[in-house]
Parts: sequence; structure tokens; C-alpha cells
Amino acid sequence: MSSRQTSKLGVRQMTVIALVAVLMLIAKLVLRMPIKVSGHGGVLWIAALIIGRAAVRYPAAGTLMGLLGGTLVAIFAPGDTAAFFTVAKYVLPGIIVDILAPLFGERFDRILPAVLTGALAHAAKVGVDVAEGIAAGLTGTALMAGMTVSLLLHIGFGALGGLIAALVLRVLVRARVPQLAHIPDSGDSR
Amino acid sequence: MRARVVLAAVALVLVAGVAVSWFFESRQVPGTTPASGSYRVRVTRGGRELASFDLAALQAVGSKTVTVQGGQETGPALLDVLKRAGVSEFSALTILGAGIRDDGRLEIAVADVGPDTVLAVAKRGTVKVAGPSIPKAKRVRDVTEIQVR
Repeated sequence: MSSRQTSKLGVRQMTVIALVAVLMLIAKLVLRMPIKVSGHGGVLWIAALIIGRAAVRYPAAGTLMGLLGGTLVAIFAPGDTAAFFTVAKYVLPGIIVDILAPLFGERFDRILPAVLTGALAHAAKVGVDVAEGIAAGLTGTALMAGMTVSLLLHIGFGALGGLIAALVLRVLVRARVPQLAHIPDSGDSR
Repeated sequence: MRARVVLAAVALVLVAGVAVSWFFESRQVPGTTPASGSYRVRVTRGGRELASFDLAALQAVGSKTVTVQGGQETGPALLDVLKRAGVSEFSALTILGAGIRDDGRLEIAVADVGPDTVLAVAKRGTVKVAGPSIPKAKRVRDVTEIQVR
């Protein structure tokens, strides 16, 4: 395990995880823009997921945030998706953020790592959509139609979420937020 | 150095994902619509098939936007679909679905099928039954068959 990570989950870490999970629910329920563009809701919760993972530094924090957030969404904003797939749509991005965080040295305040992590994490949601379609018996054109555009939109909005996360993290680091003390305020983050 | 390799790998995965998606999407028969895939809705009576609709055929029946349980649903009216299938009278319907998002079965009496009961088209190219007298929790998604009695 990286020395930058912590192996313990304290009350503060669990509070951050819970806050991010609630933000995921709020993003789903309240903060949706009245535009019919696939994936736009991800901007906020992907940003929250990345900021939360940077603050907690527990190896599975992103997964836990996704699990808790996805469960809340499945309960309070179920929509037309089976609970399993709803939870998976949040857990998978969390797993990806967890995998990439140590590989990027826990430096999501850097623009490129945050943007690419957000893009990949949000794109994973489309993978769950495909699995959901296959489970529904869709094949061929019915399954794949519009998939590329949807994937590009998810990548774009995920990248935007990552960018927002990086910019917010920089501000928080400069404000010397204790949870982000492991990130140096170098001012040369890329 | 490691971070740059990871950055390149992530970018590569994203590009590969888009390329694979584009490849599979473009491999579909030119000129077909999402509706021409395998998904169909059958209308049956006593085990006999009266009609079978793909999504394009359902959308050709008509499109109506209704507000039910606080949300907007758009799709052909169920009564119009039944009429197109040649059903003029019925006492009850059994709506069957794929059963992965819900029970996959709903019994509706004729009194509960009104002009605002629709087969709402979902983003994934399937339809769900929605209407003022159908509670959200009882909706059947990915409808595959409408049994008429």
C-alpha cells in the first residue's frame, strides 16, 4: 500500500464518504439540468467522488462512496433501472477512481490525472448500460444505437467533473484543509 | 514517469472504448433504426398472436406525452396499439416484460386502461407501460407481450 494512503477508516473519513454518497443522490434528484443530454448529471457527482477520494485516501473509499451513493439512489430515485444496475453505475466509477488514485500518487489536484480519471470513471457507467441492455434481451442495433454518442458525452461530462474536482482541490489545498495536507501546495500542479 | 504512463494508458483505454463502440455501432445494417433490432412487443389473445411490433412500428402508431406520477412519459397510447392489432373489445390485459427491473407482469382491468395509458419509449429502445392508474412501483418495463382477454 502506498504511504500516502491510510488503512484505517475513522469517523472523519466515514463522514466524507457519507457526504459524497448524499451528494450523488442530490445530483440525481435535484441538480439535474432540464436538458435532454445523456450523462450531464455526472459532472457534479464525479467531481464529488474525486474530491472525496482525495480527502479520504482510504484504498477502497471511492468504491464505498459509489456503493453507498448507488444504494441511496436505488432506494430514493430508482427510475426504471434494476437496483443492481443502479448500484453498479456508481460502484464501478468508484472502483476506477480507487485504482487510479495511487497510480497518480493521490494527486487529483493535477488537471490531467483528474480529467482522465473522471472521464474513464464516468465512461464505465456506459458499460453498465450495455450490460443492462444485454440483460434486457437487446442485441444488435437495438443495443448499440447511439452508444458512441452516449459514450463520448459521458467521457466529456466525466472529464468536466474531473476538471472541477482538480480546481476545487487546488483551492482547498491552498486553504490548508487538514484532510488534504498530504497534497503539497506547490502551485505548479499540471 | 509512472504517472505519465498511466495517463497514456487511460487515454488509450478511452480511445479504444470509443473505437470499439463506433465499430460495433457502424457494423449494424445500414438504414436500420434502433427499432429494427431483436426487441418486439407481441399482442396475443388466447395464445394466438394478433400482431407484433418493433419500436419503429410502435412509434408509427402515434406518440403521446402524458404526465403521470410527477414525470413525463412519451409513447403510443396503449388503446391505439391494441386497435392497430385489431383489438376492439377486451375485459382485461396482462402485460409481460423482461422481468429484470420489475416483476415483469401486470394485470390491468379494462377500466384502468384510459387514453393516457401509454407504452412509454425508454432511452434503451424498449417500452414500459405507464398510466394514471398504474402505480410507478407496478410498472412493467421492457414490455414483450400484451395478452388480451
